[in-house]
Formats: sequence, structure tokens, C-alpha cells
Amino acid sequence: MYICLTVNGKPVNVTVHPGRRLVDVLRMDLGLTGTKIGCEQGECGACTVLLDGRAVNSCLVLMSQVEGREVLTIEGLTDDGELHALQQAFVDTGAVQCGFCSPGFLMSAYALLSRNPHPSRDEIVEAVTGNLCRCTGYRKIFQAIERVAGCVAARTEEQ
Amino acid sequence: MRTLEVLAPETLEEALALKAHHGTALLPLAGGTDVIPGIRRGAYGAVALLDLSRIPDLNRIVDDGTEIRIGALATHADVVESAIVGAHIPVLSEACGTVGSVQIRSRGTIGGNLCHASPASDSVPALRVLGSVCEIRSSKGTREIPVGDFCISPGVTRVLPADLLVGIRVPKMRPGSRWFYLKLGQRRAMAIAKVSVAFLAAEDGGVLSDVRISLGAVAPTVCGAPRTAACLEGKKLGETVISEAVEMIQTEAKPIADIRSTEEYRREMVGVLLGRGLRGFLE
Ligand SMILES: Cc1cc2nc3c(=O)[nH]c(=O)nc-3n(C[C@H](O)[C@H](O)[C@H](O)COP(=O)(O)OP(=O)(O)OC[C@H]3O[C@@H](n4cnc5c(N)ncnc54)[C@H](O)[C@@H]3O)c2cc1C
Ligand code: FES
Ligand code: FES
Repeated sequence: MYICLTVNGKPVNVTVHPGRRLVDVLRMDLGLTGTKIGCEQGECGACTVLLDGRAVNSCLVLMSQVEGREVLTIEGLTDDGELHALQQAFVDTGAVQCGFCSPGFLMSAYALLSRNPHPSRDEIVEAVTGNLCRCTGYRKIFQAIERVAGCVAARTEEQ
Repeated sequence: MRTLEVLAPETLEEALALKAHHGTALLPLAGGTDVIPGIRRGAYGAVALLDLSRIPDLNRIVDDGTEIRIGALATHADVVESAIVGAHIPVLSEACGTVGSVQIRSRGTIGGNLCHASPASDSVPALRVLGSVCEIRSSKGTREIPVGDFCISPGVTRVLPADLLVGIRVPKMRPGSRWFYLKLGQRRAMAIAKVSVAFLAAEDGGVLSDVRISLGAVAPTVCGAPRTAACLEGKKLGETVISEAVEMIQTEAKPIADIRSTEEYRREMVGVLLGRGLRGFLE
């Protein structure tokens, strides 16, 4: 099937089997390997991308379902090789250990901040409940997101 | 994962014609959050998918005066963010807001939640206390089935091989209604319900009437608790009345045991959730 979509702001026209998963086409056909595959059943969030501005698990989306849609992957967050503020905050805060979960967390955080630029800690936690991390214990990730959300000052309990 | 054939009609008429022709060989695909993991597990035989996502307007949420009409393809996120739903049927926003994660709510639809017919489908207890009606279409016409009669057994509904669920009509709650949806899972986030309770009643001067209770994840399908509801009817809420209702629902509920929980635990927790919700009204 011939499918037209937008990936990271650029029009992409592909002839693919409509029953293939978005995550596989992103990684294998388009070479966008920043999006990871973990559980393959919607539990871990490693495959999170934005579809028309919403965070989705790309392991649970079939190509047939993305005709005419807009996809944003982790590669689309960087601007000319310059890290997005969220990515820089993850680095600076130490929110990355093995890094396997990071693209997924970053996309969930990006989706949150684009709807709600000043989320509370509870809203941040809620926004990433669909993302699992086996390394960091989550606190550094929450702090990194808060840093960008501009509410570090209010979070003295971390110290 | 097996790659299945996909048909992606652009109109509802086309989709219904395909369904009439292929019947159960064509599996409807809405958000895919149940279907895609199912394909991966090998749960389906020789089927092709009928992708409903290109059909326009099937996800609309409309205020029809006395009712809210929700298209089958409306996602949990659409429901939670809808001002119409929030204003007139907030118990449904509450229930859809407990589904999975942000990512699952972005994709999972209310129609898929109903058609999956899990006893733990979160929207169903809320739709049931609201007295909602499912609109089912085939190329021959439209049928309406109350949500309470829609699910027959886990995974089995009144949707026939040539049918599609197109929408749900939900009567508006009366102003000043008392309601809650409480869910108990393995953990707070991302958990399928072990037990859930939806409650709706009218209240006048502290006295309850038209009491409705639905239980999720307790029996093989979402069920009611009519004896407990009757025991609360016409009562003024207080500690004694609440304790009686809690005791009654623990004898009335006939829980199942499965991987998520035991019968005894569920029986106990149905009462705990009802008590917690009712006591919340006293504050
Ligand atoms: C990680 C994870 C967590 C989850 N957590 C929860 C949770 O907390 N609570 C909960 O209730 N559910 C949960 N679910 C289950 C699922 O997300 C919901 O049931 C969702 O609403 C299903 O909708 P869908 O659009 O994705 O359905 P699909 O997967 O597309 O379809 C589900 C079933 O319904 C049929 N169908 C769909 N639409 C129609 C239609 N219009 N007409 C006829 N048949 C139709 C399909 O053929 C299929 O049999 C979870 C799933 C995952 C993967
Ligand atoms: S790989 Fe998609 S959610 Fe885990
Ligand atoms: S950094 Fe290793 S899984 Fe999160």
C-alpha cells in the first residue's frame, strides 16, 4: 500500500505492507533507530513517538493507520544537531544511564510540555507512567523534566 | 509478529459492505491496543483487519440535548479532554482517565473497550450506570442495545459478524447527581482493574434515589449490584447506612478468581471501594 505521512516535519511517501508496525518502518525502512523496541505490547514506552501531537506506542500502530498523519520521533527533537532543551536537561541532570528508555521518556515529556508548559510533579509522573526505566529510579528523570518546565525552585524536597 | 492483510475503507458504507461480505474473517481494527498485542500472541486465526481509522466523523462527541453521543472511534483521551463529557457525564471522564497510560489513552477507543468485552474494561461500568445505549450498524440498518446487555461473556458481545459498533448514546446526568468511579489495580499506574465500582444516584437533602451501581472485574462481565442499590434507595447517607451497604455488596457480589486476584480479596475490596466512595460524599 502507498502511504503518505509526515515524519519529523518532512513528507514521506512509502510503499509498505499496511499491516506492518510503525516502529518497524521507522527503524528499518527510514533508518530512524532512536525509537527503541522493548516489550512490543504497550507496557514499556521505549517506542514512544508523537502521532498528531499525542504520545503513542509505535509498537501498537500499524502503517495503515498513519495515512496523512504527522509523526515526530526523537530524531525530530534535535535542531541541526543541537540538543533540545529536554535532551540537554536529561544529560545535565544525570537522567540517562543505559539510555535505552530515554527516547521514549523524552517524547512523553515533550508531549506533556507542548500541552502543559508548567506541569506539577504529579502531572509529570502521570505523563510518564507509560514509560519504564530499569536504571535511574525515575527521580532524576522527573527532575530533568522539571528543570525544563521551569519549576526547579519549587522542588526543594529533592535535596 | 505476523503481518495481516488490511482493508482500509474511506466510508462507513464501504466498511459495512465489506463486513457483510467477509463476516468474522474481517476483524475490526480501531486503536489496536487490544488487537495488535493479540496478533502478536497469535490470538486470531486467518483474519484480515478492517482498519476503521480512515472513516470520517466516527470519533465525534456531540451534545444532542438530553444525551451525549460518542462515536465508537473516540479515544479515551478524546473523552477525558471533552468539555461536553466533563460537564454532563463526568463519571465517564473519570473512568476513561484511569485506562492504562497516556500512550494507551491516545490510541485506545471507547468502542474498542466495549467490544473487547473484558470484565475489567474501565469505561463499561461508568457507561452502564449512566444507562447508555450502543448503536450497532450493519448494511441492513441500525440496532440499539443497552450497555448492560451488550457483553455476553469475556470477549463476546452482541455485535454480529456483519455489524460494527458506530456509537454510544449516553443520557446526561442530572445536576447535583452523586457519583464516583473507583478502581483498584496492582499498582496505581498502568494497571488493569482487579475490582472497580461505578456509582450514580440522585440526591435531595442528603437522601439518595435512582441509585445505580456497576462492578468491574468481579464477574465474567461487568455487572450490577441491584440489591445493594435498592438498600440505599431513599436513605439518608450516614455511617450506619454505609456499613449496611458495604456488608450487603460483599454478600451480593459473586466474584471470580483469576490471575489478577482471588475471590475472597475481590469480595472484600468491592465493599472497601463502595465504602470509600460513599464516605467521600459525607465530607
Ligand atoms: C499496556 C495496556 C494497558 C491497558 N490498560 C487498560 C486499562 O487500564 N483499562 C482498560 O479498560 N483497558 C486497558 N487496556 C486495553 C485497551 O487499551 C482498551 O480496551 C481499549 O479501549 C481498546 O480500544 P482499541 O481502540 O485499542 O481497540 P482495538 O484493539 O482496535 O479493538 C478491540 C476489539 O474490539 C473490536 N472493535 C473495535 N472497534 C470496533 C467497532 N467499532 N465495531 C466492532 N468491533 C470493534 C476489535 O475487532 C477487537 O476485537 C490496556 C491495553 C494495553 C496494551
Ligand atoms: S516496545 Fe512499545 S511499549 Fe514497549
Ligand atoms: S536509563 Fe536504562 S532503562 Fe532507563
